[in-house]
Amino acid sequence: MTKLRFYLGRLLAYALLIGFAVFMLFPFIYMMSTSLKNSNDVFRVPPQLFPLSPVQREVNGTLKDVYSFEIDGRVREMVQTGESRNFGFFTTPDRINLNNTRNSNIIAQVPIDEALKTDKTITLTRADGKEARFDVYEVTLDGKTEQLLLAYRSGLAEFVAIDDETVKLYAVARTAPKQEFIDFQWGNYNAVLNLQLDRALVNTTLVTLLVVVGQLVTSILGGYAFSRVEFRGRDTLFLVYLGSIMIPFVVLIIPMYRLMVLLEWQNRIVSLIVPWIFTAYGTFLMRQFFIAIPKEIEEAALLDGCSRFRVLWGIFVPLSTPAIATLAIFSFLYAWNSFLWPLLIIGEGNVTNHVLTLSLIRLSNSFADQPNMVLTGAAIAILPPVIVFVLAQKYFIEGVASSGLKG
Amino acid sequence: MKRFTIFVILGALLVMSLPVVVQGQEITLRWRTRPDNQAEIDVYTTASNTIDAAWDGVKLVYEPGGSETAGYQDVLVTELEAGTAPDVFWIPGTDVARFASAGLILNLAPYAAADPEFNIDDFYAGPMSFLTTNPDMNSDEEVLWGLPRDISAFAIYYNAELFAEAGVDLPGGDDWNWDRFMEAAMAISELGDDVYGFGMNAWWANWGYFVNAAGSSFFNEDYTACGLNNEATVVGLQAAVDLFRSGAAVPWGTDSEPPFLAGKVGMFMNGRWATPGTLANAGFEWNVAPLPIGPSGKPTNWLFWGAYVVNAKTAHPEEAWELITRLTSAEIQGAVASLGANIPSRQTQDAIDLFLASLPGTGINNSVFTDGAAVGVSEAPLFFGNWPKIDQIYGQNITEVFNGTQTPQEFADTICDKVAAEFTAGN
Amino acid sequence: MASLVRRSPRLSPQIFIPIAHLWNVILALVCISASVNIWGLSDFGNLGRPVQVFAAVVVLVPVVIALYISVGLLLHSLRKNPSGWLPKGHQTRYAAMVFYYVGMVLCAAALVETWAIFDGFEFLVNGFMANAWLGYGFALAYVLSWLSGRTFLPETLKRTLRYASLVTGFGTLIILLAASDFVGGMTSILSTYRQFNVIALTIAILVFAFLATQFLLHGEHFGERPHERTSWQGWLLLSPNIIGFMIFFAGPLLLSFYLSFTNSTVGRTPEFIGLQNYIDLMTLEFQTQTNLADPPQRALSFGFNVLGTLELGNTRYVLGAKDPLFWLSLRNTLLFCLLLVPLGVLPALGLSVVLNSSLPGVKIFRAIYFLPSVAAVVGTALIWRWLYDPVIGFYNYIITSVVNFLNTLGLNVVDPQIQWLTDPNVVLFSIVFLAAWQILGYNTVLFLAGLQGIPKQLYEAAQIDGANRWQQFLNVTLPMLSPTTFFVLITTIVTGLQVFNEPYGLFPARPIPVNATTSVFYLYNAGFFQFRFGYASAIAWVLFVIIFGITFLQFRFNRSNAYE
Repeated sequence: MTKLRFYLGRLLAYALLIGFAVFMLFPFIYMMSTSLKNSNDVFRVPPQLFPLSPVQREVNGTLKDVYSFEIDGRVREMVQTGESRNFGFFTTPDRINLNNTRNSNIIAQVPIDEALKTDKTITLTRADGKEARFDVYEVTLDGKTEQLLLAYRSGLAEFVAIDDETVKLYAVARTAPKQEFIDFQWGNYNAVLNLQLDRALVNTTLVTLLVVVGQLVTSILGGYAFSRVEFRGRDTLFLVYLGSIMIPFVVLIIPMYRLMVLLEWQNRIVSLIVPWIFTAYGTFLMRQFFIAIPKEIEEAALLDGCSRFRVLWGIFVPLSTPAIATLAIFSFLYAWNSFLWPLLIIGEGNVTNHVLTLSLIRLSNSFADQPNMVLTGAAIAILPPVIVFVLAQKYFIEGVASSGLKG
Repeated sequence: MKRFTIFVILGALLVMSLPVVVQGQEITLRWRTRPDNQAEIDVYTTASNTIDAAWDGVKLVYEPGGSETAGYQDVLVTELEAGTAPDVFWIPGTDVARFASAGLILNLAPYAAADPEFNIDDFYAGPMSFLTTNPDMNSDEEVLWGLPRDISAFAIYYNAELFAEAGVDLPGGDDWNWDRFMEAAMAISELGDDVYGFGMNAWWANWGYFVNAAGSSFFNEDYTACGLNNEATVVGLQAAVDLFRSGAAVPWGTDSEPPFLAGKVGMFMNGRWATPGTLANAGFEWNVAPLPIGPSGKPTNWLFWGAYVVNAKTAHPEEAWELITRLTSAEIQGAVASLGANIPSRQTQDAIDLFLASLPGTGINNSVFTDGAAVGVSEAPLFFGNWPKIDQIYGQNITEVFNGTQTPQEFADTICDKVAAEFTAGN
Repeated sequence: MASLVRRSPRLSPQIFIPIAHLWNVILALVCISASVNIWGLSDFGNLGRPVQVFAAVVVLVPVVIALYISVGLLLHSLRKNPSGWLPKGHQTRYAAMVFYYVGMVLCAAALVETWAIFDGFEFLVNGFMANAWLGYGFALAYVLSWLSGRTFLPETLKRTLRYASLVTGFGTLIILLAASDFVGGMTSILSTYRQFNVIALTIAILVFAFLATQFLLHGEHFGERPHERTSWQGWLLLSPNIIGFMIFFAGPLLLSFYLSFTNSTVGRTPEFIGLQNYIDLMTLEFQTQTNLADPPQRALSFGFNVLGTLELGNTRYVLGAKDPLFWLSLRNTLLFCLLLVPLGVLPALGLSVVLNSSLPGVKIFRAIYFLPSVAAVVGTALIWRWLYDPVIGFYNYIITSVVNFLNTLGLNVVDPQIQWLTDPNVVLFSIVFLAAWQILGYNTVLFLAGLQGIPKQLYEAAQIDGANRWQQFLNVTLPMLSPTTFFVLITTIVTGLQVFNEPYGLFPARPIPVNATTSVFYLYNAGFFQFRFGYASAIAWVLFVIIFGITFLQFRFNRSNAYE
């Protein structure tokens, strides 16, 4: 009994976990699949996950989409001839659906020019009291001529079998069963990269690289000073520093923008790098880590005549790989994904200095009617951090976890 | 060793960033337009390259701006303030007043007067009269704010396959009025739950068509006050709201382009700018038809226009004027028009003929657009009012009308009070 | 750097102190003329006269410090031990060290700026783009060097590998330098030495560096006590942070405060308007209206717009605001946070509890849940924009499928056909769902870490007491987890209060729906669409007060929990 409960519990747990996993992953799956579609394939109701292309066959010298119809129990491959014909759909008054005549129970489908229109009309009253008038036609059904209501008319496209030109039928082109196959459009990636996204990719990489290196350097130096070097005013300064973490970026948006205008740094990649290499949070993180390293190690080295920088570089840095990795990961994500600041500071027209997030917005505007291209761009922007995450998963998770524990 | 390598690599990076300043001998002119899709970007890139190749001593840089939804004009204002805006740029007709009043764009009248080849009558008179308005009522200085890039008008893009399937006559003809329009929309929407008879997007010109077709207007005659407080507004909006409420139209606010391109919308009201994109993406038989005639009994449309204007801070005003005249030359306008995105702003017959012959082999009924432009109300810059603000207030209230939290009657009764503060006439 | 200092030659004070005096005089003259110059400028970046005056005064600060140092040096050389506010020997030395160091850094920055290296990152990108293939060279060098460190290889091969790696690495470097026009870059740098300011800056840097070092090395001359000996090292280590902090944080913060009291906008010198921005932002008006046929707008004074109405009997209560959009955006933001907390935190807590029950494969699930948090919000918002599409989007398709399924079961459910991005009643939820999806994994990881920190013995003790799973969760897990829960709540709320990217990416049309306009988005609109920089700064400060209040709460709580 307990064993059964155990397995049931497990089953339930896994069902929950897998359910959430699908929910979390689905947008990414959708992104990948859409990025591999061609432009016509995206606008599809109902939506399709797999990128599809129509099967095409050469008929009389032109490429045509292939449809498969079942005629007399045999599935036949057919193509549109380009001709169409108006059909009337006929029924009796008791079979008609007055709310939507297209949902009526139709007893005859005849080309409209083969039915004979009579002078008679029949007026029926709908449930809401409105009246609907129908024309009466003489229709020949199985050799018998009957008087029927014209429920609705519709133009139907002509299809012909590929292997036998005498086999023809008429059907609604919109809902006809088109043959399709899964077809990945890898070319989308090349096409999107060529729209200056390659430049944006390099820009983003460079900005991220320099911001990460810069933040590490200033944070390690600052963290060491705050944790290990005794000097006057240190604790006051540290409190001020800590306080600055609490000030949200929104307060700085306007003045920072004005400052960049003053320095003539707007529209320049430098404005994405230099202001962001000083981080109170990183300094704080490193200080918290350094403070836990035993003093004795350092004191011995200093007595031996090592300089502070030697101690820092030779002892502290190797000992604090996890903290450095955490900081590096946070600043990597921050720099790679930052959007508001680049949006303000890099002009829309200055495409050469766009980072990926900006390019994405640009794409989403100029390709508003081609989501496959937009999502290809999104994939290009999203995949690098995802790859880094997969490779350095341990540090990501530990870093986040420790941020919660240390506050 | 490792440390050494890192330093070497960092050093190499630093060295690579040393700028090697190469002073070009050519003047560089940057110019920008607002494209609505990639097809248009390609068109203007080609135009820029063509002019660049034929013009010695000047290097042209074309930069496509954001689309209409991305605050194109507002981005421009930021850049004008920061001093990073391009030398020549396009702005929609409605924004000419705002830019001119704020002193952001250059008065080109002196340059035009000095240019013997320039003739103001080559262009459509509607836009030109707005472009020569002096926002300072007390000044009689001659002004010219720019030259129209092109004009455009609305049309009904229709899915012929859906019309055939619904068994309704194709749109157009003499009796193409609201009755037939509504009937067709209803019939098509009955084809399925995911099929809509009609679709339009949510910006001003779309609901504006319904208001205008009923005989009302956004503004009074001299564009100094709101003109929506009348019965015609109620009639026009009521018709539109009923159409949307019946489920025959793509719900208000939803971009109608994806469902139209998916073949699920019978009629889609949009401008000429949508033609290249539809050609590229639509997998069904389609064409364009005039807008249906409303209760006013007259054909209604908009004459959209936008102008190339010059940055007031440009370092090369003469070259900028030259660029504008080259960009609006019959040759370039013809080339742009032949690619299908827009209609020339020159009313000369050769320009119109070039447009009518555009997109050969596609069967697109080009004359629908020129006919529409001929009857269209010119998109008006408000020299005596704050158009972005008015547009915003109109838009918010219209959304409430379509969502049912306001009736068309309430809208017509209160809207003019709400925007009264935004008109500055008489100040 | 410290070792560099140690190796520097120590000059006699008789030599460097006169140099310091001379240098102070030169600096004072330069600064005074700069101040006069700034004072007389007609245009100062459109920041207004107060900022200009402030800058002119700030430029005079070095004059005061130089005077202070010179006086201190004179007094010290006269062997006077001054009292009161006059500089003492060691104070003079500190002042001189800091002053000359900062001077050196600023001059170096100015020199780099003249060389346009700050502007040159674009060239770096050009170099990358053009020479991307050289990356293979460095990669090859790295692989070779990695291989040479493997112990299983014979010694001779290792040596060859090391050699090969060096050759490849440096070879690539040389090709890179040649390809990126190293010589051209160096020549262009050297050619700037024809300009006066470049020469002047270089000399200034050298003099500053010389003086700073000399004052540093002559501690005993100024009566430095042994325990003070390391103090300068702390400041030196912190100096990059402090300089960056002053320029990119403290300065802008002050500027923001100042701007919020002005009418700063495009192309106009800001005027001081006192609290007007705050008044325009916050003023509300309350009116009653008895004639219900009148539109509510009529009840309000000119300049006010309807924020909300309430009808009770024959009276209508009308609440108006000078800026209703601000209040609406604030309401949206708070509502957003209120919704984000249950949606982004509760499932995370549940998932983390399940994950903590030592199931196989936990790590994989944890990674999957975390994945959305590493992706750029703009990117995910664009994905969701299309998932939300009412016609071709998957979410409505899934809802329709479920509804159809239920209907085949005989239930009569109406397909809601949700207009995710346009229905004013739904838009806020659309943002919340996206944000919750994005933050869920992050919070799960935080909770999981918190759960793993709970001692197992507590559960064992609870089990002995006969508590079942649920009771254990209520009485052990939740109380022990409360610090983590608190942290998660605060970070979620603070992130929520600053939400911007989600609405920006999600809504294709501008302006975005009113009900989706969050406070930061409103600030962005005011600042960068309407260019009311002063007004936007005021919005920022109001927001700041709210966010600070919440963050402060967390800080206090953490303090009382004392992790150190």
